[in-house]
Amino acid sequence: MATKLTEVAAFAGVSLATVRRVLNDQPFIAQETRERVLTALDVLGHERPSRLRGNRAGLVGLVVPDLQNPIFPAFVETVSAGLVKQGLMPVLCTRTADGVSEANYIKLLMDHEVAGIIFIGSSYADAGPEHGRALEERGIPVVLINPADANDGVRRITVDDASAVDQSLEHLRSLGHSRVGMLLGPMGHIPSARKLGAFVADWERRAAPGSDPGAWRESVAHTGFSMEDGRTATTRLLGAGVTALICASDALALGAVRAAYRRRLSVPGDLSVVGFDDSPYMIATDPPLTTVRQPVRTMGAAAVDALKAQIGGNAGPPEETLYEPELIVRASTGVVRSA
Amino acid sequence: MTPTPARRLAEVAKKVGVSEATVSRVLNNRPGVAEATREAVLTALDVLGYERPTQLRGERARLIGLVLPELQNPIFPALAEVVGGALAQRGFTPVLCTRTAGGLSEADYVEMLLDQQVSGVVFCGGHYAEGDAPHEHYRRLRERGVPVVLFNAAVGHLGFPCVATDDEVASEQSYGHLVSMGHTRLGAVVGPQDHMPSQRRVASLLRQASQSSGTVTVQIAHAQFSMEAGRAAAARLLAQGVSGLVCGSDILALGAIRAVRRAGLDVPADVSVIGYDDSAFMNCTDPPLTTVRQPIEAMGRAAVTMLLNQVEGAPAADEELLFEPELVVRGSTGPARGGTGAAR
Repeated sequence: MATKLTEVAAFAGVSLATVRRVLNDQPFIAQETRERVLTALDVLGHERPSRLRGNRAGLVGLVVPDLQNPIFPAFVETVSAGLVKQGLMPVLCTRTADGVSEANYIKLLMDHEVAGIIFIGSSYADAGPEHGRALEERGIPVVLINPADANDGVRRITVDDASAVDQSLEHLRSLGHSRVGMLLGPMGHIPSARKLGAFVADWERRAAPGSDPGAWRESVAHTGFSMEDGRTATTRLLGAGVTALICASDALALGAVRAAYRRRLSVPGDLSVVGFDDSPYMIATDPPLTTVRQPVRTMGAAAVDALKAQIGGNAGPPEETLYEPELIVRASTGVVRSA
Repeated sequence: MTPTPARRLAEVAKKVGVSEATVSRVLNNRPGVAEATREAVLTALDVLGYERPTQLRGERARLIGLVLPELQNPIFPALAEVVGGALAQRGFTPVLCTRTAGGLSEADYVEMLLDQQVSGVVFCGGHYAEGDAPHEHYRRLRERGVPVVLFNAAVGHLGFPCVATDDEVASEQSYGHLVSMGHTRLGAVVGPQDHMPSQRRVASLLRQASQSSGTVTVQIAHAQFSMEAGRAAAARLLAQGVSGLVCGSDILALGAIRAVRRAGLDVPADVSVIGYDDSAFMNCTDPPLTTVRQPIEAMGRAAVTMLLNQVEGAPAADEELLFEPELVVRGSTGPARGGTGAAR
């Protein structure tokens, strides 16, 4: 070992102490000197210490359905910061309208030999079962944040959708609302399904004996996630006589508000609206939006920890961990208008 | 007669002055070789007329750095989506580098990108736009010949191609809109003093005011790009009696609206506020925000085209492509109180 270091020092034209400092990646060494020592290592046929190799093992794919909904950039930002702290490099993969899908990204990422993939609000189940198998076969670490579909056997970090609805209902009931409706994502979207589950359970608990058990259906609409989708669906629900709406996202909630205004109704005077997600600009909306805030920092940190554990070979069980959201009351909810 | 692989190895090693082990590492795409050595070996291969191994030709070099100052202001995620999507469509993968508080600096990110041997970098806002910020890492990129494209105005000497919203036109649209409604005492809430796009807009506003023969005045207040800073800066301007506020971003405009309300005044009845960007949800604000829309789809596509041309070998033109913004009039601007505005 001593001979090798002396050899390297001689070749590079530096002192032995300098060679040691470079090998231990210590600071305050001129880049040029560092390069000379590393080149000397190569030329003399010695392996570089692993942490100096700069190979591609440090890439982590971040797959998101879009960046329009502010919750996704929020997760991307916190997860990226966490990854970078661990010496990993985030590769952003956003699904685009014109065809770059999860499947394309998964293939791209596997070609680049990523160290792991974090799916936010989507998952490889969308891409088809063969991609999930490919990932599994290659043993690529995967963590899902709020997956859109069912994914047993993969580590999941999920916000507690049922709790979000319970808190929203409690708030609305305290304001006197008894006819509450829901504006949800598409059928089959798991977070929406869980929200609906909590809603229906509450309905059944309160249902008068002998009443129609399926009556809640009139007050629930499934739609896409854009504001326009929310607006259209709300118009239908207003006809069903709801006085308050629990929405599966802030964009849907803002669409609901717009639908009410279009019908010359006031929010919250005629219709109370609760959103879901929260972002810094929901205080500036018209009206400032009452919503349920996801604990983005906590969940992001947990996802990075989980991925790091998998990369290091000590993954825990591939279970789902639920995180408690909090209701943020602003100005889009109010006392129900007495008939 | 084609030399055997062993002979080729020896020949290249001798030419470059490295061990055969090193040449072997480069040919097999294994890590642990200094960048300069790798380049020297590949060049020697070319010079000696040997084929580069297929796995090195293009496949590996498919990463593009996408550097953003933040993701909070919705304009940045929107840009990332356009640029990232356009890159992915062409088979490139964007490596996202967002500055976060307490995280890596832009220079650190550039080091990481260089280590990862990215094929190019797109900067959507960053230190190149700030006169007082460090610029050393840009010089390194240029020295290494890494293709780079910048978004919006940069400090003068960097020499990279740029796609930019025409700040002159944006200023003229905002100024013209307010003045046509009778506003004569304008204020501008813009980014920090060394922020280049802000400097351009300020210069344009002052130029237009100077051509008004003293009828119109413009007061300037600088702020960091946050709602709170926007509010503080706007409050200072309101104290000087301005009735129309031109803001450097939608976020600053939201802060300005809060300042107006805090002063007991109304938007737009007492004070008009214009934003910049037209980021998501600005039609849902209270009031819906009048703003200048950046044509990010067109700019994003142009930036990717310019970058990939460079990646594919075209020389980098030190040019700035300007794109026309458009003024989107919503509910945060109105006639000056008591003023006689020009016919609308």
